[in-house]
Amino acid sequence: MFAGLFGKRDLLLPVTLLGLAAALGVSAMSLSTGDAGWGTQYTSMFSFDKYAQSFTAITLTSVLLLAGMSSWGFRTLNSSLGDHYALILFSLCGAVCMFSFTNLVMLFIGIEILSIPLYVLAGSRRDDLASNEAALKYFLMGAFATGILLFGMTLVYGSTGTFNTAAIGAAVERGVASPGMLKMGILLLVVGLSFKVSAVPFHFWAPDVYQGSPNTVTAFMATAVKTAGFAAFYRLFSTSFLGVNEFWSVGIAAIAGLTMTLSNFTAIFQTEFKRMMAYSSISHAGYLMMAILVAGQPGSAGAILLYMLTYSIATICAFSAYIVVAEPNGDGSFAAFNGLSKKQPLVALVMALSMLSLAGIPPLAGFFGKYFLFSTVMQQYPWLVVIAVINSAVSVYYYLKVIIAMYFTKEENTYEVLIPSSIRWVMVAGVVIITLLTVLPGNIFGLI
Amino acid sequence: MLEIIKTVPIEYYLLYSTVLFCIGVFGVLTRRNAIIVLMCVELMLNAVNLLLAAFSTYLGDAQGQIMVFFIMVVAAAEAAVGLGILVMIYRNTKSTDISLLDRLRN
Repeated sequence: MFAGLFGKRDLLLPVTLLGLAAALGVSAMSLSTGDAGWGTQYTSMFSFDKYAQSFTAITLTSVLLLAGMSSWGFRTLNSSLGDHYALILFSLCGAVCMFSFTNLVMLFIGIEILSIPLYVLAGSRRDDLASNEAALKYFLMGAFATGILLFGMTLVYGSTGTFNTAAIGAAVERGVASPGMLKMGILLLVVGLSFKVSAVPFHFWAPDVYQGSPNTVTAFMATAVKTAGFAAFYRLFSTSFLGVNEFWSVGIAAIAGLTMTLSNFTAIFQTEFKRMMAYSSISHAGYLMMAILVAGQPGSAGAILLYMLTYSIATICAFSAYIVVAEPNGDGSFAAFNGLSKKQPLVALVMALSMLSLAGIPPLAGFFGKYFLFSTVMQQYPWLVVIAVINSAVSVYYYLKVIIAMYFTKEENTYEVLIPSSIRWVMVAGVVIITLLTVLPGNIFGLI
Repeated sequence: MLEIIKTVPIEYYLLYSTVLFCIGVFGVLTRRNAIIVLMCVELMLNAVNLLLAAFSTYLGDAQGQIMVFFIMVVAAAEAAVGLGILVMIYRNTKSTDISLLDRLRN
């Protein structure tokens, strides 16, 4: 799978310069090979097991939609377009590394391959101070988190004597000579990875970075990057540190509870759509943290996979609707959506569907994501699920704000909203996927 | 060479690296100049490198030293991107002070 991706990426680099159509096609090809079941073990560095394959497939789906969106989203960028596609694809390679690593070295390399192009992408509007600021903040926080992560890896290496995740797992089960060092290492790994997935209390960079980055890049960060972060987090903790899970589960449970509560209550007070989406993405990180708690149990990986897919698709749909409303008019507040249902019923419908899906309203895909996730965690951590359900109820409030603005607000604005055909395709594809997930969530859940 | 490294007990390396690392963390959290923050991040990474080399010697295992190479390469790449971002910001604001960059919060 990875070699295939490399070969196609070489093909892709010149092709992306020509335009979007080829990028879409090639990504679709990688996607279909991802489903074909490449189970080969490479070395002790990677293993493309079903876990890696299915996560690669869902990330490629998101990036495919994003690529469709970016043809319009990137139209105003002043530097060459090919670089942006190339950077997104480099970043995607890092994500694939993070899905399939069996060695901490590869986890580190994967995170860096994912992050470094993103620093550049976040700052790709060179004349826009907000974009500059986002890039610098993201870079400094990312580098800082990497340092913490590496120190954690080093301590784990020092206490177990290996970087191989399975061997670490075995050593941890047996018990190590210096458990204090191992625990400190795990703690630092949790902190470093929490920075990467923007979980409270290490989330403070996320709203600023999400707001300042170009819209398409924000959508990429909120979906593919988050998927990669959680997939890596889960993979690491389910293979390596199950032996001491009573040590870290308390911390993760606290982080999960804090993350969803704090972010949901902050999201209520946001007036900008993009900032609201940033806090919403932090709150989804909180729900997903619960799945790390039950790492290694049957169904937990499938729950993350399904949740990530429903969340990514809904977020991308929301951003594609946001782009057509906010970018031409330069207004990203909720008021920009006033009366949208009369002007552009399709955009309003897509936005409404994705908001309801993110909120987890029953017939939609997001509900099944939440249902499977919560039911996996329910047995061991019922109190956490109660907090999560209350938070989901709170989140309905701010998601509904957009819908109210679109459908029920009397005040009109004079904004013109046009849908470029590429965005229209993304919206249609997104809605089709959301509908499919509504009908057959079990198929995704059962992939792993 | 290996014997020379081993004349110092591993705890001392651990302590020394931890102190270096903490200085780095402290610097990142308190300094306002983006270049100094970047240097502090490098200090953190070098503390990690030192500790990895020491562990690697004591464990008699080459993986740690290979990791050091990877970290060096990646840190160089990261610094290049970071300095690029800094140059971009300096052109726009004529400053490298990170406290200027709080426009997004409002």
